[in-house]
Amino acid sequence: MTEPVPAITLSWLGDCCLRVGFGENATDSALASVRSACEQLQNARLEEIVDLTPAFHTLLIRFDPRADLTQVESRVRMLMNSIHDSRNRNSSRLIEIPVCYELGFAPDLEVVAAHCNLSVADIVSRHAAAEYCVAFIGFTPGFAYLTGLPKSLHAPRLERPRVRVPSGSVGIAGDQTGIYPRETPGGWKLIGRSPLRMFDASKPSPSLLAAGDRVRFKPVDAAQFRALAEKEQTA
Amino acid sequence: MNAILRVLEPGMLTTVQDLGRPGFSALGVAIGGAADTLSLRIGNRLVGNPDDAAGLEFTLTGGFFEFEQGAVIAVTGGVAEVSGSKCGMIPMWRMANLSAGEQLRIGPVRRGCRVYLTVREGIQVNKILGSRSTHLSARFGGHEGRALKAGDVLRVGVSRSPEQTRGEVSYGPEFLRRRTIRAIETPDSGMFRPEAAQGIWASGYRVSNQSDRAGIRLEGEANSSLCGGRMTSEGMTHGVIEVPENGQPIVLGVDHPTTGGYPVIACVATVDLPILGQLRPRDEVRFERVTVQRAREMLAENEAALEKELPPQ
Repeated sequence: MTEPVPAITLSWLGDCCLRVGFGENATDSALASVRSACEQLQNARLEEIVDLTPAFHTLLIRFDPRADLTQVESRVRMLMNSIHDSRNRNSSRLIEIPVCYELGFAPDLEVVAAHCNLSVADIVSRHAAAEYCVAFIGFTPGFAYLTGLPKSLHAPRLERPRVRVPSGSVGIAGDQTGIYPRETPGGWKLIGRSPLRMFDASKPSPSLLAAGDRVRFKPVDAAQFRALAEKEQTA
Repeated sequence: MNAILRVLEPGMLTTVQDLGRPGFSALGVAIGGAADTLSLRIGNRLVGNPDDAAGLEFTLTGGFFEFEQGAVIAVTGGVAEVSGSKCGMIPMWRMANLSAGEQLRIGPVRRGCRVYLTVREGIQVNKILGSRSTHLSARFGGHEGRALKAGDVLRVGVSRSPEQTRGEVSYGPEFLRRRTIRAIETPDSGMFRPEAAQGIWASGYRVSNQSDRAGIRLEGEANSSLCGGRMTSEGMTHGVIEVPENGQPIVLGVDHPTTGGYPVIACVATVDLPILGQLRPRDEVRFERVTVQRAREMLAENEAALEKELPPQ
């Protein structure tokens, strides 16, 4: 399966970040190009690069502002012309994330069910049956942007965001689903909670999920949730 | 060898910060570090540290500390009264020697927003993801991943004498007082109506008190025509000027979300990023448009001036 790489555009964001755009939309092909571009740049080991921020159809490259950036720009342009669709090269990991969907952990589950014209049990089984893909990690440490939420589960954000969303909460907002890596304010509709720590800076791989991972949610009951949460605490 | 710095009064929001942790944006971790890197770097140079040694960052309020074994220190950044229990008034932007058991008081920040205390050999906390900076929201780095509390004990470098005194750095404070901030227009600005896009350069803004290390909210003439709505999330950086639906710009701070979905009208020039760290609520700011080329030249000029006035030891 090879699709043409979406049209690549380069533009400066400020004086030391180069924004590489892959087409105009968040397509699978754009996402694959972003991933391939990241690999190319990491392999090229350009010492002027200090940080990379991949997203759905863009890659932000941050350079040392004191470097000769005109020269670097042409180097990057050359590298970007040699990227290719890498979707089939990587055998991605499948990560199973335990989620307790019981109502005590899922304050908006009934609201989502009513919105979607489905039973609570249907929402849970559909949410847990789908396979998601981690598009990238962003916004906050360990937050995974997931693609693959079934259309029948799309639901708008809360009209009034919560001041406090517990860490591990699993929510739905529009066509997205995700896991809050830590306690924050938030406007997603909460349909469950995971006992896993999504981000731990003291681990060699601080983020539980990585771009490209496949994800499945596994329903657990409250007792299993507590046992798993305790295990995470002591780990 | 280490000495002890005891926190008697921590101030409102005092954290351990260095020059941040680049390289982890793909994990959702912004670079972070000192909000005003210039003041921290100057402070470090004054006490003979490398630029990236960790110091303490104070926000609007100061604090009260005790140095058990004495220390070589400097206080830089916004304007505050600084005094030692034994040596009396301590001028800012200058190295000072504190003797064993001396208490240091840093008063409220009267001008600017943040003050930095640097200590010879730096604040000795463990590096996490390559940096000693405190990541407040994810609670890691710095001292136990949080702001300092009364009773905290920090390890710092020990004083060696005799010390070579370094002169005052006069251009530092002047530069940081400027409230006209140079910025570079982004290609996104095409998303805004042309007359609205001009508004960002023509109108003045006031810094809202809803501002912190993650972002500076600006209030101005109701410029709703500036409004751009939402776009697909993409990578952001410190200094990005976002325009949400209400038309009131937000300038992303050092602890910004790594990705965001508001349209970006401009991005502050790297040379002026330290000024953002000194903006306090109710400050009046304006933006001045510069080209990418000019922004890089200004940075090179400022860096050259710093090397000349205060080369690293």
